[in-house]
Amino acid sequence: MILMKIEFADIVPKPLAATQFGEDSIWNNSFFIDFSDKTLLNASSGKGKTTFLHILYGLRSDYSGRILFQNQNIRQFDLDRWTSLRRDVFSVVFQDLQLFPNLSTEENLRIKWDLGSDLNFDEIVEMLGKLGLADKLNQMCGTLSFGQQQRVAIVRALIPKFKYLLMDEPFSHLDQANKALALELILERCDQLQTGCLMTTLGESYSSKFNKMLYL
Amino acid sequence: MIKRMLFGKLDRWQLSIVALGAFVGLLFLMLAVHYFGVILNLSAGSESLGENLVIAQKKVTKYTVFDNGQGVFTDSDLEALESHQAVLHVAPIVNNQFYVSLAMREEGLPFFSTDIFLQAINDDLLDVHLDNWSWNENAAFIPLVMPRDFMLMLNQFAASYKIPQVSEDIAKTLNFTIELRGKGGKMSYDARIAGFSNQMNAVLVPMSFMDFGNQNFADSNALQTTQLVLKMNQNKYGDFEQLIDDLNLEIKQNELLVVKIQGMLFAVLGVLFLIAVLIVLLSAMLIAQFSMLLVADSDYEIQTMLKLGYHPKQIAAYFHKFFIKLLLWVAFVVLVFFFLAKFAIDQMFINFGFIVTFSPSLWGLFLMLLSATCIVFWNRRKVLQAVKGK
Repeated sequence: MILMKIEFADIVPKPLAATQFGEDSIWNNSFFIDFSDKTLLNASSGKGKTTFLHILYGLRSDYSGRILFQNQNIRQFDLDRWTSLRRDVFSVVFQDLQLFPNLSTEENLRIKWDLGSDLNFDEIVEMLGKLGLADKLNQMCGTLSFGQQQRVAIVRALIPKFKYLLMDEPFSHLDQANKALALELILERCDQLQTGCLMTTLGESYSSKFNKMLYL
Repeated sequence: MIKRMLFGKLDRWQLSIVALGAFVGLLFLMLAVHYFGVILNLSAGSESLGENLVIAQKKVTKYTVFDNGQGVFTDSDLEALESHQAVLHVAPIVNNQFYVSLAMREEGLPFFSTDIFLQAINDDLLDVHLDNWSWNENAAFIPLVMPRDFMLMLNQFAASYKIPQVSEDIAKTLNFTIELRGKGGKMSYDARIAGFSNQMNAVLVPMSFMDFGNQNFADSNALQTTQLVLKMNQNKYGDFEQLIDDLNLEIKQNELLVVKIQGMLFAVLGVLFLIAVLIVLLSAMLIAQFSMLLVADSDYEIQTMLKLGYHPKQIAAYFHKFFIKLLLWVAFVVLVFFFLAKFAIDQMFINFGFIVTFSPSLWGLFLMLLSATCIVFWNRRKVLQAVKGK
């Protein structure tokens, strides 16, 4: 198995160009993320956690510095390359979830499942059940609470056979019990696929579950 | 579910307008092309002469009637006609230079005999497709193309002798004898009617027979051209009419009348064709605008699908399939309305005395389907660009 990694060299988002960063900040520093790492990115609001994830996922390109994926600058990636990365390499839990409110929970999951998965759909429903949403399968996503939607988004992100999982404050609207259940499910899936993940938080400590910490 | 999501905000009223635009454009296009072909094939109402062909001869006046050479076309006349831009082709009509009589000897029918004169024209100027339009000395009979007026004469003759009148098909089975006389000799040949002509006033024979007769029975070898077949340049009708006046020629006015009608119909169809092309282009733009509206309405859904790993081509394919279905339906309805319109228009043509074929123009069908395909693929490109831009 080829170990994938992403190297970052002096990345600074343009909106933060005038900001002074600390020595341990990922901005304007060099570091790398190994795809076998379970990484926690800790920072308070407004420091650029979402920006970092969006840059990494190819949704933003307004930054200086270089990001190398498998020794290739991601700035040179075209739409086809990003599409295959989003389909086969990365999986994401967006902070704003990016669910389809007019589709049912099942349909939201099937849209991702249709792109390919090593799981059959029953196993996906089982994951949904583990997060307490088995009875919400046919309910329109737009009518679920934000916490429920967050759990649907987490399950959706676990569907593909990803190489690296990105999560942007995935537990922000979950209670402690559901946080624990969701984290257990995520780490279980990562172990099953022998991959790592990167999760942003607002300072909660999950240090026992993650082997690498990043700061902004 | 993706289809439901992407087309959930579809406005059926706007869709109807878009479909109607494409329908009108494609229907007009198909009709214009089809009737362009129909009018092109009207052939001046003639069975013996092709399209835009007229028979011309020098005008006979009280001053020229006693001048023996006035009715003959000279080389310079032919040159003037051939070099004129309104004339595409000039071919002489060859007359017999010997005496000919035609007799009918059929059991049960009274004997019928008359002096006639024969004419021959180039085979390619005949649009009556005859399988047996050839003659050689060993042929069993001479094929004849008779003036249609001959049938009237024959039936008047039959009526006066109180014998049954004959149809064209029966007439073709009658046996005639043609007798050639000249140079002190005479010879008889069997002949049968192969077809009928509205245009020619003489009996037409194959050129090979005419050459044989003129070589063996004509008193003089010098052939004089008194009638010509002219192929007119369709687009120079006015110039052609002027030329006929300038050269003091006369032609059958009804031949030009059909050309006039053709010209007018071509002009009308040309305008209809242009309007159709314009409507098709507008409807293509309307469909593209409608697609852009659909894409804009599904902005969030498309962006999310792209973020999830869907390729823009996958998303555009949903729109593409939708518009393929739409255009297929439109094409089907166009075909139905085309046949309805064709039926009505053909009736009008028939009422005016034109003969129209039933078969629809394949060019019209091809152009209609090609236009629909172009619209679909042009739209696909626009949608793909719009999705990629998300």
